[in-house]
Amino acid sequence: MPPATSAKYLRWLAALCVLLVGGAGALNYAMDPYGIHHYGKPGDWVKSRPRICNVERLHKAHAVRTTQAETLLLGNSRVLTAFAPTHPALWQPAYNLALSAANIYECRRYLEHAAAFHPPKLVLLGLDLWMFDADSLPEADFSEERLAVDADLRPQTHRLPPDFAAALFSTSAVRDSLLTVLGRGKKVSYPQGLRDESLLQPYLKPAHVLAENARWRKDMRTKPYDPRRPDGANPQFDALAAMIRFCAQRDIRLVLFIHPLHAEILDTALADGHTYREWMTSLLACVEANAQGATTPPEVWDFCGFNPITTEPFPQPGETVNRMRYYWEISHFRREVGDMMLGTMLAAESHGLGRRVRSATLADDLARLEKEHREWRGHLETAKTTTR
Amino acid sequence: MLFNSYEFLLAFLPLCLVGFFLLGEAGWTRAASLWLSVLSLGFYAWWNPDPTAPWNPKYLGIIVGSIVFNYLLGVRISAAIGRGARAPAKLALTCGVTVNLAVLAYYKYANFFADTLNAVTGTHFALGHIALPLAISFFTFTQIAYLVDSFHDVTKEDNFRCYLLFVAFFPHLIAGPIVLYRSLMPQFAKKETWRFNPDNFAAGLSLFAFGLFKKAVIADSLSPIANRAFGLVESGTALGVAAAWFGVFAYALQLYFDFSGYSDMAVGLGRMFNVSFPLNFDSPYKARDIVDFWRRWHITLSSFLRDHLYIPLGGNRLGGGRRYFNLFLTMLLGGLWHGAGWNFIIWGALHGTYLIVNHAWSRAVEKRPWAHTPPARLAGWALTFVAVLVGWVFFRAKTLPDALTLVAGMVGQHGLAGIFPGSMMDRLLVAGAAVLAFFAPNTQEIFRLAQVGKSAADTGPRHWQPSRGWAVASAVVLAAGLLQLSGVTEFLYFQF
Repeated sequence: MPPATSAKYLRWLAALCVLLVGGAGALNYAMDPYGIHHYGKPGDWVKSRPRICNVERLHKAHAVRTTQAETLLLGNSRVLTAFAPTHPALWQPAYNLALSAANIYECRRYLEHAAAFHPPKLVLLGLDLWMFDADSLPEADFSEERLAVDADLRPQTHRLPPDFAAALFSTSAVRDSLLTVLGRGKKVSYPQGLRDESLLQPYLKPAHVLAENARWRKDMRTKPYDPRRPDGANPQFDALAAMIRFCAQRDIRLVLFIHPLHAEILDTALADGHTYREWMTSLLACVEANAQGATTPPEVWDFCGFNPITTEPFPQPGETVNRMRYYWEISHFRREVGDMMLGTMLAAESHGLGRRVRSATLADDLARLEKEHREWRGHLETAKTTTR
Repeated sequence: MLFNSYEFLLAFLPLCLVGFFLLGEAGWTRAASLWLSVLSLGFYAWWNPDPTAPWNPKYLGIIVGSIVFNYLLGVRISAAIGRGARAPAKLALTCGVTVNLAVLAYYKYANFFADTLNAVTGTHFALGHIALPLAISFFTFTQIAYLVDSFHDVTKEDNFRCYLLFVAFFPHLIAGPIVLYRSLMPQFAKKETWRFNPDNFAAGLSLFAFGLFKKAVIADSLSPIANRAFGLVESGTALGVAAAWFGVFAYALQLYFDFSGYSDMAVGLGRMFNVSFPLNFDSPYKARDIVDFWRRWHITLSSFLRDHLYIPLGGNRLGGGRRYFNLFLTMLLGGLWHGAGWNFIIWGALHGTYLIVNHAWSRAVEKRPWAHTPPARLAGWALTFVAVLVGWVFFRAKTLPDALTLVAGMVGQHGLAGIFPGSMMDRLLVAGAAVLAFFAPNTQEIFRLAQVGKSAADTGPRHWQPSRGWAVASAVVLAAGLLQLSGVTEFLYFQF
């Protein structure tokens, strides 16, 4: 090829570079692998976006802008997988804004973000002990910059969300667009923020359940709940207090509920005799101290206990069929349980699961829980003795 | 500001180039020089460990103070040398070098020395957190070289504007190459330097594109693999032989592509401004012995240490034993220059020892014919690379126990199998990078004839020239580098 002049060379280089970068941007915009450009809008021809599950915090921060949700469901992966926004007891439209491994601070920031576009009328927040770990930090894919307001509720419109540059002009987005093309046959979607159950297919295999159970048990042993930092503070309780005040000031009905932990996990939480008790006491004190002046005081529901649902047995090693009805594995309950919980809290249904708790009755509730715990352990000991 | 950032590529660089050449073409070279210097200081100030507040002029005072101090001292030294007064000149030089090193020592080593003193004597000196100003190691060495050259009467500058440009010129400011006044500033004395030259711009932009590709695509892809291996060791996992070597190998490649890529970007940027910088990397992993390695790795630092430390210590002029001592001390201090920590000192000591062994071995076998056969050269290359890898363990590990654990893994003390810090894709990536490092021509070879003022004609297809083929190649690597600058952070444990 004959040498060209440098000026021509520069024109070629610039044109090709613009073409390549622009082409990547066009492909990423068209495929929208993270569901942030035209997800769910009329004409959105992409039926399945398998990569959203890796970037939930990014996807939901953008998706919630246009949902106009009257009900927001907040929490961690337990809410994400088990609470259908289409449940008839919820005020519609509803959106499941729960995030995998979220702590309370992340829930608070996503509530403030969503409310900046459309204040909800009802907020349900799923809680467990570990979301309040004093050392807990937001996950790596959490970004303050993409949220509509900062932590002092000042608008952040002056900043261009870096998400758009990353989602349009990056090799990782090109890779994810191609994976979206290749994965079009797979049905992976987030209807109203709810995690599609097709992602949980591996949990239908008993071996996978047992492996996950072993991992959870190890995690609970190696990373126990830490109620406070060395300086005595717990930023997660501060975040909850801020959420309660936020809802009270905006006349948003706030319903807090404690997950129905599987008996084996609850057994670990109750093992030392004081951690769970102290956490519940702090939780109710925080709620009652910050709800003053609220038209509708926040409700707190406790679904922990030892009952036929939470004591559901796991598959045994060697079994080939998973017959579990209420739980995916030790840590996550299924949508059937989520439906029962929503019915209990919002439609006065009775499923023998959960009760409303208040400071005044907490001592009795905890005493009953500890009694159930002793009985369950007694049954376990009896079963072990019988097996021997 | 980093070269591989949107703010640099989309705002700073175009603004800087347009302003420089508009003023230069109009004949306003002083204004162009000031434009370049002021923007370079802005480039320096746009850096903060906290990315949410990038503008951080806190350390601007240190670099500007350093520039003013060294300029005044240089003028004084040159004046004294000019009138034949060597003693006052030497005093000024000693004073200058001492102050420069004292400032460097305070910011870079004070905490390290205090911690070491506390550990040895049981005292409790606490200096608090002293943040390291960006590039202080580079601009300190650049200016010490200037003072020494002034003393030897090979450099003379009485124009502050020129001196400011020499130190602050952004392409070499952050991470080198370490430039000499006498090689850089004569280029700015030429009229053509201030005028846009499409030949230089095309070569510079292409070299920058290849450097960006090496840094953003290759090195940044290798980084998680190396981090995973060293992270496992930090968390107390003992790696088996294969995993330990794989992790260190990945780090060696990451470091090479990262630093040489950044140097290529610097050289390319200089070229866009019609300025030539010295070479900094020349395929160091192709080195056949450690002496050869140091002629190919961070060449401008090696030259600086040779000219301003090894030779003043006596070099090889005072006999074999003293030569080896000088070598060892030079490498030890070179290790300390890279970072304040015992691991860096050990790394320097290792390389000092390697060099002593290398020189002694070379003297012993230089007249043996077998020492120059291909198998011997191959063995020399392999041994050199292994020695370099062992050195990188100490360079990268956070603590000395971590480094020793990893070395123990490499020699098989933790078994052969175990956790492997890489998927099949990672292995392919490392293998691909290794092929490039060991067998491909480096960017200096590709751009062999593309030097300022020289024609690019009469070159083969593997050498860069302003052809359509090279335009396509450069556009692909530039686009890949640009697309690699950002990415969406993923949550890896996604099933729940």
